[in-house]
Amino acid sequence: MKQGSEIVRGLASENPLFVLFMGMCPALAVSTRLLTSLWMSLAILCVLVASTLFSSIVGLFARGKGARARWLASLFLTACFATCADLLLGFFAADAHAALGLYVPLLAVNCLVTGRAEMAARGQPVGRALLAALGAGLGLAACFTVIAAAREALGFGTLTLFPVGRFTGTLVIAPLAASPARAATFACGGFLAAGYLAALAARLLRRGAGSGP
Amino acid sequence: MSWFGLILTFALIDNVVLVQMLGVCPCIGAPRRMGTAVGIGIATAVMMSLASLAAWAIRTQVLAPLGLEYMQIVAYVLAMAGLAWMFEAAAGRLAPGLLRATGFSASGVAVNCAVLGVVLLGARGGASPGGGLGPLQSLVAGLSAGCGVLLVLVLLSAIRARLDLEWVPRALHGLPLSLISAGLLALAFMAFDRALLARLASLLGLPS
Repeated sequence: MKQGSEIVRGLASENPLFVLFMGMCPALAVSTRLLTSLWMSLAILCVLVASTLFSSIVGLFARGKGARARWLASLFLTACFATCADLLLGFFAADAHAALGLYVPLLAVNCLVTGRAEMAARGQPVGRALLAALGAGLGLAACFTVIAAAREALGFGTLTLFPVGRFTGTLVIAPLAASPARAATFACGGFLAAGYLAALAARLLRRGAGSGP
Repeated sequence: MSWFGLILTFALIDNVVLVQMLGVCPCIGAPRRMGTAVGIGIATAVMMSLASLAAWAIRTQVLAPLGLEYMQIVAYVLAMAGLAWMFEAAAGRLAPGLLRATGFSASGVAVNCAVLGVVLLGARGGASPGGGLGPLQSLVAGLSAGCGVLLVLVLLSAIRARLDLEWVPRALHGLPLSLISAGLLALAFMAFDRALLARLASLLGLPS
């Protein structure tokens, strides 16, 4: 029950994007296509979990040692994993890598990733740190997908997914594709979409909290 | 790219926060007090210019000769952490009041995607095709990008202080409203583009 609640907290009441407003930059910048945002979510999730795991091991061994040294270690580990993610993505998914550009290496200083890693390095229990990281990553991925779907539908009139069999991977929403609102794909569209969706999430969360026990 | 073009590109046309969408978190949570916003903006600008210069040195003097360019993120992050400590120590001596007022912390500035983003953009040469920027160009690019951040921080802080006096729907309270303000500001910043740069340069008789 307790393990489950850590993950649910990351998805809902402590959602990194819509409640805590952490790690927003990639979510706003590369959420113009659904497929790109799915790759980005995967990269964030992997870097987040890996750096939290290794930072909590550092925290385990260096308990009571200098806080700055532990902070530096968690920063170094996060940077290493971000570099790994960048290189791996470039090798296995070159298209997605080109579309994501700067934002995968920038995960090294994403405030969500470094915040979680630092908390883990301070000596949070390994299991709890991992579950919290997993919850935060999943919560971020969910918001990311919603924002990307809204922006792509409005801005291009399509939804891009993986091609499977005879399905080309692109859903076309005919009335929107004929006259898309291009502004949704620009920077301003990202801010506005995130703002309105965050307001919606705040409303839903409050209603959920109000009706609950 | 000319100096004029470099400054305008990094400060306005490719504004770090509103166009590149880097370092959004500190700006969205912009403090209501103008003095605090200015303090954070200046600290960011100084960090950006120093980090750009340091990154130029690391890239051309250490990583490129050794063929270790793929390790650039790790090297830059460690260099930025060191710079942030130095900066914190210096600020503690020179202006301890500022340090307390802004809630400034080394980790807060070093671990800032805006700073690393500017450094990486400089490493890629920004918009110019001839590879990375030179040392002085890196310094100026970092400083102008930082001034762009300062401008956005001040604008958003002023907007936020104004909105406190207005009635807003409850769901929009706080950060959703800041995000929407930033979106409208980004819409306004779309007016700064290459065409404007070319026009300004020709008006002033400068190479663009």
